[in-house]
Amino acid sequence: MCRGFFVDDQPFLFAFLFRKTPTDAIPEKFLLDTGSNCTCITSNTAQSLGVNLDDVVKEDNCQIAEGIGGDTYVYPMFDSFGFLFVDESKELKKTSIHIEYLERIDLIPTLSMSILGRDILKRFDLNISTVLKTIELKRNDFGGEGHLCFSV
Amino acid sequence: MENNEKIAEILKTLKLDVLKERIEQTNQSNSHFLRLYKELGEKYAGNIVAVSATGKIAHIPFTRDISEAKEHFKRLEEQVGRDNMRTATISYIPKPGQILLL
Repeated sequence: MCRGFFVDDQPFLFAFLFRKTPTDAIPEKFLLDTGSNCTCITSNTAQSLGVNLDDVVKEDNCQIAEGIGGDTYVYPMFDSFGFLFVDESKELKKTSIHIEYLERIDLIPTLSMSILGRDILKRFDLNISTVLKTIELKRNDFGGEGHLCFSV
Repeated sequence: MENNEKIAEILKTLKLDVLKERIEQTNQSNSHFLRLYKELGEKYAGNIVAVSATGKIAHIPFTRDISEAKEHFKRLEEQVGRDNMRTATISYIPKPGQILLL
């Protein structure tokens, strides 16, 4: 189970993001966006992951995403990206580690915050209560592979 | 690689205490941010504001000039502390009462 939170009615999820291994995972707040096909990160986050922006933000790697707000320039990155969620149960004295992997993340230089898109969200059953201000994501059985879950 | 091998590999490198500390710091900065929400929206219009885990508020003016923005960002980093930047809650307040989380 992953738990999110609201900031000014906007749903967010906290995760550690990494490339290849979780050694240098960086903390990141993601806006939950069911309207976005892909998970997208900001230039700042990409740099924190060790991405050389000059290798990614170039004309021959540019795609245009059409949206309600107009066209957006998107720069896909292909690697083994991991999203690490930590859930601590004080009662059981256990910590649950949940890692979701994605092979593609889009870099959008004009983005102000990172976005968790449907490529990850479709793996979960979302339970969002705007009244109770709770957000719960539970891995569903039809979410496919590409994840690891264990407790320590 | 089998899942068990992957998990063993991850457990070797995972610094769980560090991750938990980062979560705690992020939660604390979020709590301070929500506590200060109204005040931030009223006082810091036109600024980018960072609230740290200790509740410290740092702010820089928003600019569309990239080189100026880089200088401002360095100042924000100095005020908050480089290590604390990713756990701080950072927002942009374009006009009074309008807060955009970054």
